[in-house]
Amino acid sequence: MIEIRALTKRYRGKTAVDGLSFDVVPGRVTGFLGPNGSGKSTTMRVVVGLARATAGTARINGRRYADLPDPLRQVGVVLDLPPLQRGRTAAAHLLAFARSHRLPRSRVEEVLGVTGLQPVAGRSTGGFSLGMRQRLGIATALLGDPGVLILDEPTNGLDPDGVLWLRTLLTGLAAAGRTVLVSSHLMSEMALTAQQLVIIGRGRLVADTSVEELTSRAGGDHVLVRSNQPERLRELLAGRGATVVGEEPGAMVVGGMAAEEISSVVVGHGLSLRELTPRRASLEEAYMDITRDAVEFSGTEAGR
Amino acid sequence: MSEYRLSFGSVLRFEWTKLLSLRSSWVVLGGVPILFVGLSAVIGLNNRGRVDPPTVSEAVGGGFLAFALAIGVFGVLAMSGEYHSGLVRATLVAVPRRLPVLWAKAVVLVTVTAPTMLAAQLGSFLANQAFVGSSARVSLGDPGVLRALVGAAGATVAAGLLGLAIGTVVRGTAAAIVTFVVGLVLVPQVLLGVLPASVQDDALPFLPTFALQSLFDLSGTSPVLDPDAGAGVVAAWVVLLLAGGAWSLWRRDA
Repeated sequence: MIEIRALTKRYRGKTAVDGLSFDVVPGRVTGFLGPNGSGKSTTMRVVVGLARATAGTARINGRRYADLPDPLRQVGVVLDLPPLQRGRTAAAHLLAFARSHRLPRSRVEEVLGVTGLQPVAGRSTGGFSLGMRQRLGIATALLGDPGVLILDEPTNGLDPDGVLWLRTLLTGLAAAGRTVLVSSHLMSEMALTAQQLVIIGRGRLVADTSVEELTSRAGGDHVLVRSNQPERLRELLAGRGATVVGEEPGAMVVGGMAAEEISSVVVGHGLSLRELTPRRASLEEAYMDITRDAVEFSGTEAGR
Repeated sequence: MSEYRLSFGSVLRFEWTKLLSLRSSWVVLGGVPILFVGLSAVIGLNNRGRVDPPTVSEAVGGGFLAFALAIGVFGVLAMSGEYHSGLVRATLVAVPRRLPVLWAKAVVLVTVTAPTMLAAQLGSFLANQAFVGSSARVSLGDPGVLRALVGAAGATVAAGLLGLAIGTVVRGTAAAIVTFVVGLVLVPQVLLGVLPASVQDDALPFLPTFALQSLFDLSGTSPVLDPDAGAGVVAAWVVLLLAGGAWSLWRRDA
């Protein structure tokens, strides 16, 4: 459980995070979304004590991060661009962090296995690709088997396989009752991974919503229908509470009714269909709408 | 699971593992003594024709400044290397109280440099004496020699701690090394040239460089304190700079 209350962080007069409050609850992946420069990384750095809050508090499991008696056993952290030093092997990197919390050496082997780094465990991390660095960062975060995970843009540099692997891993960890906070600036990515979305812009909370809520806010799902008898079908569907909007002659967009139901109405009344296409509401568009005002530099401004 | 509390002992193991798992640490800890011994042998060889015996500090501290700089840079890198790579953020996430990281690094630095520097000093003294002419020979048993050897080793270790402190305050490797070299080499040279002679004798012995030298220079020549007072001044510099490092580590965002 992460509780953020009225968190503010100013750097030399510039406000990076501005009175931000939200909770991250166990059992679901919470996506932390916002345009670049909106304060996601700063918020995460304050939560794990790397940066000092100007005002407000951030608590994990009821305590300030710095007051946790055994931080790595309670919280796993992956910061943007996981760090490593040339001339140290991946296994030694993990062993050092394991020793800091008296975790058995077997944990090193386990997280190397989970992250698929076993084949390169003995290699110097200096030559690691960005994707391998991310995996090593995730391995470090998992060492203490923590109940809370905080990951800043963890898909950066991962190949499509890696993105899928991470999505499965995070969803599994959340399903097992852990608290997972993942930041991203891509809605498309979060739509697949997260169940809860915290969206910020210019350091302020813009939305704290579930994915389902946001979907319905985006106008819900629609179905494009083409039929030989559009008038008749429109009457039938409207009579069952669906919203029907004509798009072009012969075609209509139906809201509030699933494709299966439309299909059974058509079949039940001996009508025929030429097209039945479910259209998912675009979370991307909803996100863009929400954050439009909050984007720090829009295209025109950036062109100064 | 939560009964475990992060202890200083585990932070020590953490820093120990980090330092010794870096290839460059082994290069420095192995290479510096070898260079040290080799250089002393060369100095001995060059002094072969010399008739009058060298002073104890000459016999012991021939290449002192170079090695104080090398170990100082090693100390700088122990911290600035983490800032450079970003590892420091992972370190501070593991040890969010922060200050134990600095203390543990200091303990580990002393633990690895003290025996290697002691061995290096002893080896270089023996190598130097092996090549120097028999008339100019100083024996290990001569008064003050052992003490000077220990003092020189201690001064190198102290230089490492000063480097660690500067690396913690300055953070950037290049800037920290420049700061260290300016403070240790340039400032004393400039002050030697600029200060009036009357002030020099009072002020210069308290500079880190001369205080470090006083640990093995038993000749009593100015501008050097006697070894005990010198040790006190060195300790004061180490404490002062480490306190500055601690303040910086504690106060500033990482």
